Amino acid sequence: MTARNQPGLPKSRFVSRILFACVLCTLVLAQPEGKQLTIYAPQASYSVPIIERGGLEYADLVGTLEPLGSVSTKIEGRKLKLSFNKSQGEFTQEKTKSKLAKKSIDLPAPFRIEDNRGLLPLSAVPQVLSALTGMTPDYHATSRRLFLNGTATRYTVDTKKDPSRLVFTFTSPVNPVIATDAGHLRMTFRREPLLGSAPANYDGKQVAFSEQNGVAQIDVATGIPLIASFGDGARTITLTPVAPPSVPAQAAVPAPIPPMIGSAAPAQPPPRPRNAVVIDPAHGGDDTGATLAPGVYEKDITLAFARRLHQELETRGIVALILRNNDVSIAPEQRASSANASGASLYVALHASASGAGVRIFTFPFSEAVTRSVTFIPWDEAQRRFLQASSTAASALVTQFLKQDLPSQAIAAPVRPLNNIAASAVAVEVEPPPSADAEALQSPEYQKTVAAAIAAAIAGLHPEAR
Amino acid sequence: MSRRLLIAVLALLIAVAALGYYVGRLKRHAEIAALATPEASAPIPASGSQEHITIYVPNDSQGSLMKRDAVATTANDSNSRARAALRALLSACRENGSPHPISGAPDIDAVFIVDNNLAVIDANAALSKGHASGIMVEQLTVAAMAETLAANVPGITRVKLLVDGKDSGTLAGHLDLNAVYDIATFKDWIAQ
Repeated sequence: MTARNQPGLPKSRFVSRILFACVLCTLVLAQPEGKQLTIYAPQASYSVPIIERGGLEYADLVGTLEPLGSVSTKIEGRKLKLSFNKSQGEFTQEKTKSKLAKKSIDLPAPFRIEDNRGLLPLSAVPQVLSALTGMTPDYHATSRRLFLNGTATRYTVDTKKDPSRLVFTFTSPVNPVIATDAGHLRMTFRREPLLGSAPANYDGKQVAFSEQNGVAQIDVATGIPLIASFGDGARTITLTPVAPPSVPAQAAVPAPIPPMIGSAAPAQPPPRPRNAVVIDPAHGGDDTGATLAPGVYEKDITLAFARRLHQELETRGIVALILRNNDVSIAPEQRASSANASGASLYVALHASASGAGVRIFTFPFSEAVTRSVTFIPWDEAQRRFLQASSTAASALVTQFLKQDLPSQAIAAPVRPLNNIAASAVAVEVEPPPSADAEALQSPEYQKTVAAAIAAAIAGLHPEAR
Repeated sequence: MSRRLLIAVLALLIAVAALGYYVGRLKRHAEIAALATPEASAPIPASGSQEHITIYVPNDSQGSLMKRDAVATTANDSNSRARAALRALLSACRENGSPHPISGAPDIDAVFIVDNNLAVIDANAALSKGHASGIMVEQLTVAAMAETLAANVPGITRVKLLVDGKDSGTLAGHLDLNAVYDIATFKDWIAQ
């Protein structure tokens, strides 16, 4: 029963409940702060949110496997049947006995089935991935980082050429988020399978490696302000002291550098992801969206596309947030509120349709220009002042799809909640490729092609974010 | 327990079981009837004269509108003429092999012309129910209605779609029907 239905409910309690609900929604949607498992495989690096049930930690079975191959599940009563590439598996609700690739295995905790998805005990993820992919796992349990088949990036530190500088050389290109404050610099590696070594001292500069919650960090303590620069195709990062100030000490602290991925930013407060992208898989929960084929719902296809797009964006060093990472219903207003609160510069709603062929990009149509000198912008017109930027994003997406030989066009259509978004906003409706039926929307190859094209277009919009 | 009581209990149990079976059958029949697609009934012609009119039929695969001739029973007043034109459009969408199929029995309950330029279309719920779901496919229906009205009722520049007399949120899950559509925005959609 809602507060509105209780006639005697005091107004203050009603307001406090609304506030509590808002805080709860914000917490639920603020996934980047939550616990996560990061998996590093030769073909992809990706993070999976951790779900806690009964004091145990779980990961979504499909989410852990999807970037590694073609995966599908079928729930029959208390059993979940898994198909991954050419291997089959079977899990039972609340049981530890499972079958994988014709072998019986014991999970360390009971398997769970919730909302038509399987939840795998976190500690079983290395065992299950190894059984299904044949890759050797190396699991760092305390930091929740899983390395498959020896995937790793290592680094060395050099001060030989110039003792005032620290040169980090990595075995593969990296793109960390870098934050600085006076005398301290932190590099956070979200996607790189970085492995480190013991803390060391280089001419008074302390360098320490640490890993936690699926990310790796290198902290450098020098006592003087540092700036970072990339070189050798992002294989080296050089830390250089800022020139000594000639003004009084009070003004010596360097002005905060605008937060940006891949560049230096103030450590406190945390950098705001200015060029972040919010991915909104449309529909979810009771709202299944279109029925694209028997038993195939739009809500599931949009989620699959969203996960692939998230991966493609992060591969390109672009911070991406997914508004819905499981099968839940979210109201359009709530989606818009979360997107606006994230401070992201681009909102991409993903839809799928069985009609037509190719990919269509929609922006919100506002019939006439309105010039108002008001402090507050009407909620339904939040998008109006970003229309030009939205059209630019739509054009970039169309160009990228046409390069992939996919029919594409940019169209204006009133689709909620595009009008409530206070940033560039587009809705992308993915249709089957030419001469294919709706089943093609489930194809991992097609999903990857579309996601890669969207990511490439977005990367082109914000080249400085790379 | 006496023999009579036992027989009475058994008879009652058999009666309950038979009644349960009968109720189950009735329920199943009702479900099947509800699931069955309603027979596509031909629109009841409005009183008036037969006339060749222009309609714009959506083509889902091309994402465009195709100009077509149709025969409709038209009347002199703008409201009835607009309704007849839209019913001819829906009939075309219900034909076998239509490039923009709408199943069931979609119909237009009324069209109200407001201020000589805004057409408020009141469609029945079957239009939403039988319509494919998707942004483009839903927008094509609105575009086809708008262009068909513009071709047959002079002066119409904007359209608004209601379902069962109400603002229904979306047409089939995507397109916001709270909006008033400017017909001029659909001109480019007509296939040349």
